Amino acid sequence: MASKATSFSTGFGDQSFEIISSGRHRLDLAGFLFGDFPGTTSSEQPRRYEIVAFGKQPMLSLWNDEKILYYGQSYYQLAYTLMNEVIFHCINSHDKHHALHAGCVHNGNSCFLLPGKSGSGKSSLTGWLIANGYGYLTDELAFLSADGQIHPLPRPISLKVNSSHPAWPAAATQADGIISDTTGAMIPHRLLNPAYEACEPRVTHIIFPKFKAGAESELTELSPAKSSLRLLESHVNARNLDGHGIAELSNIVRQCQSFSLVYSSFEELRDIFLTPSGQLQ
Amino acid sequence: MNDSAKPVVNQEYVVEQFDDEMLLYSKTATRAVYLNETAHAVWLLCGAGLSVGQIIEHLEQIYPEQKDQISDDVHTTLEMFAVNHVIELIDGK
Repeated sequence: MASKATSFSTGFGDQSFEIISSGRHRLDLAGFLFGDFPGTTSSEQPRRYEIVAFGKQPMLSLWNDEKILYYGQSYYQLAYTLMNEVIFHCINSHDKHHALHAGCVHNGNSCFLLPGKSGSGKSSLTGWLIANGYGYLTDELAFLSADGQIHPLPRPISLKVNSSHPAWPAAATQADGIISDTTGAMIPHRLLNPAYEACEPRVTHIIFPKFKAGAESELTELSPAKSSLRLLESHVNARNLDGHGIAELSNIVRQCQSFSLVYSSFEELRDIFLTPSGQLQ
Repeated sequence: MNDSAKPVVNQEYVVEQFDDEMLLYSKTATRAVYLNETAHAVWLLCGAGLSVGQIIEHLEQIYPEQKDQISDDVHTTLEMFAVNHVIELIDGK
């Protein structure tokens, strides 16, 4: 059954986006992806995307004006492409905060920033932490003010399928509302922790996760200088900031405790993150 | 590396000090170098206009108990600086 076109507006900073959906949809994809984005008060013309679905087993396409960005049958691939487009434009010209490729969670007075490249295991760790009671902020991109306050981009937890990664908790993979194909999955964060409340705490801990199959879990404290150096690898808008933002970022690091974390299973992380006497409690 | 060569510091690098460690970072490129205490000392001496040999001699006087190791450490550190464009080595002859 055909449905009429719907429009969804979202944004961050001075970037605004309008996502129009038309045709046979079984999902409110825009709401699924961007329902928790902070929004924008920008009066700039929004960047427009259109999701079109047609056919009984719908063929999907994603358009930016006249340019086609995706064509195929995978909701996951379309969602992944659209999310990456929007995130790219949120970062590309942003010059007010430090954009960091990082997950982020909070717990009481603690706020953990989890910087890392794709494949480091930061989304898996973020998902596991929120499934175990931590508050969700983001699994991918955090903007930091000069004083260390986090302005997260909350989105569904995005996991790439990788046989070397630890098995995701079964309850999550069986739940409704997950978009997936053979290459990855997007999991609504409320499936893992329904008690979501948007907030913007200050970062207190910087933890550089690294999934390493077969390795023994190891949490090692890092000096502020080493932490700053590693954080630069995840600093995605440095070119837009005065002095590449390094002095300001170093000041934020000085206010935090920093660690590197090697892990191969979630079970081993319980003692570190969940027990009252754990190293990060 | 010739010990008569003189390291010339690249003025584009700025120092970010963390207690006894530091980061040098480039004002014009997204590039940063971590320095431990030893590398920090070598970098300071590079700025004093000394040759490689004079830097080694100077550090051997300050740390006589590490004399056997200092020459290797200085050469390794200067090579790391040169690779990262923190210094340029000018032939001193």
